[in-house]
Amino acid sequence: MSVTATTAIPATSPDSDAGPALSIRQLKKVFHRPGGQDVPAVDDTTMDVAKGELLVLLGASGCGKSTFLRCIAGLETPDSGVIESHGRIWYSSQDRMLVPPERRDLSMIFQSYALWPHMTIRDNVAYPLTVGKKRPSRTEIRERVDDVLRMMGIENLAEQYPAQISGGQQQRVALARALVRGSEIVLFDEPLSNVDARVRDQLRTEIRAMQQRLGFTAIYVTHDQEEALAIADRIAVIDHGVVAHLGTPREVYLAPANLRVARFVGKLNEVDGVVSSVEGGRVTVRTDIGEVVAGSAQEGLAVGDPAVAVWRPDRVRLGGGTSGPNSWDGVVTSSHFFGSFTDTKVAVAGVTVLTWDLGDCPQPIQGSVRFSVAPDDVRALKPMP
Amino acid sequence: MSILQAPKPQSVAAADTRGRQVFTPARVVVAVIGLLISVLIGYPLLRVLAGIVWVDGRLSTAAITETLALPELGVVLRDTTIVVVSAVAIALFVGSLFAWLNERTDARMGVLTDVLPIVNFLMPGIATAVGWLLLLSSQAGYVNKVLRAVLNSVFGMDLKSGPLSAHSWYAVIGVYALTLVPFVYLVVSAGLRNIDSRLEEQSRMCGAGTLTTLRRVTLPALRPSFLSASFLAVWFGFAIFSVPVVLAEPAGIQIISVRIVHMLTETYPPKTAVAIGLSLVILVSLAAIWMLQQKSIRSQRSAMLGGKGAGTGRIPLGRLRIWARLAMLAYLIFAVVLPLSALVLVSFNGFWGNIRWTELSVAPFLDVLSKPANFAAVQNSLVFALIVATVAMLLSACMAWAAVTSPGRLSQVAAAIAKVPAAVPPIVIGVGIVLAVAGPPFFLGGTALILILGFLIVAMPEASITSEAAVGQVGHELGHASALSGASPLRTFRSVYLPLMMPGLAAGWTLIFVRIMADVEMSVLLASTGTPVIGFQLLSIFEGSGGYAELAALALFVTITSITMVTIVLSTTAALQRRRSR
Repeated sequence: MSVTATTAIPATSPDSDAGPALSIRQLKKVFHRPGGQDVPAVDDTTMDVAKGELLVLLGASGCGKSTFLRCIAGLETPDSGVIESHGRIWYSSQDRMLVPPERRDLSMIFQSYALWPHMTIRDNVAYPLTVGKKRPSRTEIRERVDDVLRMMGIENLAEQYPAQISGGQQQRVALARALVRGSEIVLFDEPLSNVDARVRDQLRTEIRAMQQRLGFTAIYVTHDQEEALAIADRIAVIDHGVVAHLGTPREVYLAPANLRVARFVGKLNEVDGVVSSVEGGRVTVRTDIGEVVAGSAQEGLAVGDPAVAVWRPDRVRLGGGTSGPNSWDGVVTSSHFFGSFTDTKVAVAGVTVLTWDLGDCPQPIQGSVRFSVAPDDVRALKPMP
Repeated sequence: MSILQAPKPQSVAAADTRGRQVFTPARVVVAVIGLLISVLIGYPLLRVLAGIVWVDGRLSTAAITETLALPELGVVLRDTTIVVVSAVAIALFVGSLFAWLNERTDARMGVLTDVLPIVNFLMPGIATAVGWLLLLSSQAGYVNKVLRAVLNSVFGMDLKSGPLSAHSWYAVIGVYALTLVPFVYLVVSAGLRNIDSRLEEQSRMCGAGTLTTLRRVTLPALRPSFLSASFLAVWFGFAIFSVPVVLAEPAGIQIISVRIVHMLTETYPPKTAVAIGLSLVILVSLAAIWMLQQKSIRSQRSAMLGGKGAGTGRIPLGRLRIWARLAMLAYLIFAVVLPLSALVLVSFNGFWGNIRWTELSVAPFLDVLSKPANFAAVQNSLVFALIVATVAMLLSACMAWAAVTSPGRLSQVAAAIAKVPAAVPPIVIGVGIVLAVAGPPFFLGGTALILILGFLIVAMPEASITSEAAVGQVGHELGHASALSGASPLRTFRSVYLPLMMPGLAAGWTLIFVRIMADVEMSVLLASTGTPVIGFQLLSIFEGSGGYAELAALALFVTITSITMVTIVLSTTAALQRRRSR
């Protein structure tokens, strides 16, 4: 796709620059199960989304991330709290305010694309321009639709019906329809889970490029941690309706707020133990494989507390004569070449450590190997309750 | 109504304590239409129930005592039971057999098979009944003439009439069964499609033959379908009016639906109490059967069986295939071809007698239709069918859409009420309407309005079911995508829901239109010589002065309208679908 095409899409221009693009205060939404059980889908969530930011809501299916997104869209009515955009209230339980979706000036891309099967691609994309209060002239609509179709590289599909084009193309149409109105906020509800892996990578890059170029604020829901890390400015990891961690991809990956977040965001080495010392920022955890020094720790860990020392497999260095802290000798139990990296499992004192290195040479099985991990790459976390 | 205005922080929108909107357009639609439907349907039905204890403006047990004192009550119940039970049994066997042949074996026959389940829409009950009257009448019946010719010349017999009779047990039960087969077929073939054919293939892999598999696996798994099919067939069996009035009554076979109508239309003053009492007999019987069905379904697990039917290998019937196909062909000949031919011959001949093949023409048919009374009936039926089908579909489409965009208890209740008339035979509803609005304070008896109300009530279940199916086919996200594009709820309905629901709505509209054109049950109770409709006119001709050519011509007109409408709608919706996915 070419992102150099000129475009007549208006730059996003909010009525006022007061406050963040989105401000959510103490939002709550509870679903009542038929059995009488209450399931909190959004539990007392508070967050701000800055203008031009791409925020990813990451979580397992059923964690409440989609409900949160639909509350922002206005498709779901929260039970309490406040949703505000640039100082304009969209929802407030206290003031009994609820702005319906069509008055919120945002766009949304659905997992199913939600293209109207009875309209051509052109009519689908033009629709948002023909239904609002301020309707551009016919020629302007045509120009803007042509521009956005060209930008998405689908101008040759304009007269087709949705059932006649491929999944990847349908996703581009959905994107074009979301962008044509120049909404300041665009919501993405797992937009890439229906397209195959190769198209997914390409579309993900395009969405990010488009978002940075046009400068809209995006909230992007996904359950795919790789996708989240690749695309986000910030990631909110959602767990049972609660924001478990809100931070940059780097923070979420390397310094997860708790063990659950750490496990969800990627593969993890975990060694159980007890905190033996706390000095400055450094925490030492006594474990079965010896003392593990962690460069950072979850708040509230004190000497004598049970703790889990965690680190990512890609942070482990195999071989070499390192001696310092966090160096061990182990026995290789398996080693597989995966193309871009080699996955090796090493056993030390009954604990299996997973390591990924960029080498293309698997280790000999049952061979002995020395490995180490820098204290700054290790984090001490509280065990799961 | 104050819908949310521009999103100014100060504006207090109409919302309840949790911030939910109270007056969304969808909710208003649900409330208004729901109320309308509830009154429209609830009032006449409550009037029937109230009639059990409230006769002629005072508390009375007349409805029950007079009904029980009816001398012919025993005979009516006996005859009705014999006819309904035998016809249902035959239909159950034939319909299930055809369903199995079409779903599981190689006996399928393309378009002819597709016609099977919609036979009743192509060939209305009154047309079938009149057609068979013309075929089987002992003197002039065409079938009898052919049989006599063969028997007299080949076997040297000297038959002056017969050998068959239209007014006989076998004719009545046979024609009942013909009209019941499609109901059974529809339910059982749906059941077969839901049973994974791999279950049956597994049985055959275990060494069981086709028949053993049928007996040990397929039939037990189909039990819930058989029960539903029987219930539907019994229900319809009780409701049929046109067949018994044309075939059974002259034979002295007393069917309850005909008795009810006679109590109201052929006695003066009308025996309202007895009509209510007999209606109650129908309602109680249906309720009993329904409870039996529910209990039976709950007590077994076979309803849970199976996943998606995987239309894999069909059972080759070998030499039996030709016989299976002939059997289905025979059904179509008996249900459509023969009665329709009789109607055509009589209408185009201008009289019922020896056919003059060279003089067949459309002229006598048109002559009959242009007679003032017939013309008025045809015109009224067309206008009423047009109005009622349109209004019913519009109301139910709005309701179905509102229920999707604003789900809640209110819409659930309204949707349930809209389907109530489906559980009550039209005759009973007709009795309710007569009681409710024909007399004071409304005095609607004999007016066009009472007919429109009656037709609207019986059309609501069909309209509601087809509209819900049509809405169900439109994904919620399509509507959400429109709202998020900035479209108002009404615009979303107009631009997204309505066009996508159109094929389903058109099908529903057609079903209702065809049904009203062919209606006899409502018409005979609600129409009058002042505002005749086709069903009313047909019966007046049958019971009065008119001739068989007139009868045949009107029945033929109804059939032609039905076949044309159904064909047009089916083919245009299919063409539309093709265009979008080509």
